[in-house]
Amino acid sequence: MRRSLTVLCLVLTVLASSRLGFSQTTTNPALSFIGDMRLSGFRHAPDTVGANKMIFDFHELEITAGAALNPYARADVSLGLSHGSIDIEEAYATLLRGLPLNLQVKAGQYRVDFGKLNAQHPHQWSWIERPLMFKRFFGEEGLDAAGLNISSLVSVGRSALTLSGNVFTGGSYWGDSQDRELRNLAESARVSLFAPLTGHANVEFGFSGLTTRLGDPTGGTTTMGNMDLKYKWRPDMYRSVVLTAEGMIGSRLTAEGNGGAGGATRIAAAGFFASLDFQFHKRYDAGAFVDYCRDPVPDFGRQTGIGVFAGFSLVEETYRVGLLLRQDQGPALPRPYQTIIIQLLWSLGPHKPHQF
Amino acid sequence: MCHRPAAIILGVALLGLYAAAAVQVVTSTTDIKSIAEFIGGDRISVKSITTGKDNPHFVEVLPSYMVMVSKASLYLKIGLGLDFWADPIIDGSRNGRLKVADCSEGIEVLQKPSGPVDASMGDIHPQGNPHYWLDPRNGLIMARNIEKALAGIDPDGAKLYEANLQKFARELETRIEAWQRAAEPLKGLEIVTYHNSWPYLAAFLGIKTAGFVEPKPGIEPTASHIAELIDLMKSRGIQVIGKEPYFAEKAPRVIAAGTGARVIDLPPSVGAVQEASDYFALFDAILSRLSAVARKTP
Repeated sequence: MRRSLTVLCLVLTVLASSRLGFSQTTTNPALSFIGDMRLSGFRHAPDTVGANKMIFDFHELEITAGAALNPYARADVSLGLSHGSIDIEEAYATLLRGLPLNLQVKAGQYRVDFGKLNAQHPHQWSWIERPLMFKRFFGEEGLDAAGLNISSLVSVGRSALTLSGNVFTGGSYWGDSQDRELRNLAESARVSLFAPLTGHANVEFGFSGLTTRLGDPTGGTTTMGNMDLKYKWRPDMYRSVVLTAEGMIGSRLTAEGNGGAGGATRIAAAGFFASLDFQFHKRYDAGAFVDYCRDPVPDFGRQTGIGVFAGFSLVEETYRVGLLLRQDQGPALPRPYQTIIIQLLWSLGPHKPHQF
Repeated sequence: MCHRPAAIILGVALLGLYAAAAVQVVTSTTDIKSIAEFIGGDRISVKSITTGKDNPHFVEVLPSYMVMVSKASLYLKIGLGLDFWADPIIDGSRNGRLKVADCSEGIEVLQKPSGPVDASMGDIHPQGNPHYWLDPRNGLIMARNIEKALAGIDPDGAKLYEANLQKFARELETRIEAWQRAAEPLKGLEIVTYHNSWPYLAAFLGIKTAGFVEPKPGIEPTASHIAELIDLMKSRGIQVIGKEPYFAEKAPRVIAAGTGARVIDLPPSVGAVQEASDYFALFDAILSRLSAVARKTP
């Protein structure tokens, strides 16, 4: 009875607002579905990584919606459906214009621009999987958090300098530690310079920093730094070369013993990822990468992955078949193990030009 | 004598101030830029996102474009869904005082789909074919839209813009007559083009586009489609394949080898080829290339 009344109230509200003009505007958000289906398998992998057999895996369905809220603001939502669970990857509103100093303000749940790769969704990457350092430092989904971002765009000749600052809560640090969920505020900032080199080549450098106090009883602090580089040469729509490189360092100061009485310990960690992607035809690309992470968690330690990838896009990004072959090794692994992923990525929805 | 350097510095500074005072305009394409320069004259400074050598359907959203738009007072779009990439550039510019004008307003749009549209039809534009600037008669409608937009953001220059519009209209009218005379021998000529960019030009010149190298808009040519196109061209005696310079030559060359047709680069925009230096020169270049190949065709 109560449910029926609620539904009735909702219907009446919608009808009333549409007939009496309560609704200021009609918004039709651009809705997209991105499916990620995989056939994947491991060889010589430890149990903690996965079973040594080939399996089909509907890895994720990403649903995105976005539209202008009014002439000054827009909202974007991205939901990830994976193995029966729904995750709000992003849901934020952006005040686009009308602020002084070329400022833009974003608030909600979003992928923090700590480095360049963390702010991107994995379907943008030819190398299919999130680099190790993001998984180890921030968890499987990287750093997405609830918070506030303020950014500004500054002209430096023909180049663009972007200054961005975040205050947020959430995310996770040192992937396997007990205190994965951050309860205190964290602050991060990124400075990036985009420079057109020639008519066909562009480069972007970025520097990011992050600091927070841990949410565990030790109350230690974490500080992290990140440096990123992207170079793209694209003389025409049939050829391109993209170099992506990103490095990260982190330092965690923990107070040992009860209430920190036993003195402080500094734990350092680092990661690096670099990829070279060559598009040699309108629909084909291939490349290689190196993926390294030194993690303070004892049972993980140091790990290095090297791999190659290739992709075939039937029509732009609407239907892409990707192949990934990679080998991982490290002192904590009993022996090197190999991964193979064949990915089918499809995109249903409006075209979305990707930002550089 | 000793005041000379100071005078030069002052002159340069004043020149800088004058340049800074010009109305800053950004356009999606070079064709709009060219027309805007006719209308705005020295009173405006115009930059285009695309260069004329790029495929205007796919443009990467670069921060440098956002910076360009952040300084502008006016953005001139092609519209009809062609420059959908302009929206994230405009949003990324954070420019609250920017006016956006759509140059397609008032255009009689060709090839408007009559039924539902989906991606199985290729990269089709739901609002109709957006390559309208390739009919010079539409150039006048674009010029009026640009004049209206410029007068809206810069009322002090309204008289100049109006005068320049009249001048542009007279020049365009004269040119259109000349182009139509020059195109007389081309009337009824059947050609194949790479992409469906040319219905407006075909309507203007009285030529016919019999087929496309792309099986569907935006879709790469397939072997079976190329074979069908070769059969079609042979059966109808089509001897010209027009290609936008940004598309690969391979498929048109294969078709040419199978039919004996000639492949020509047809500039779809100002700047696509060297001689297409402005909106008038664009049609001179197109006509000159089409006429040259038509003369050689038996």
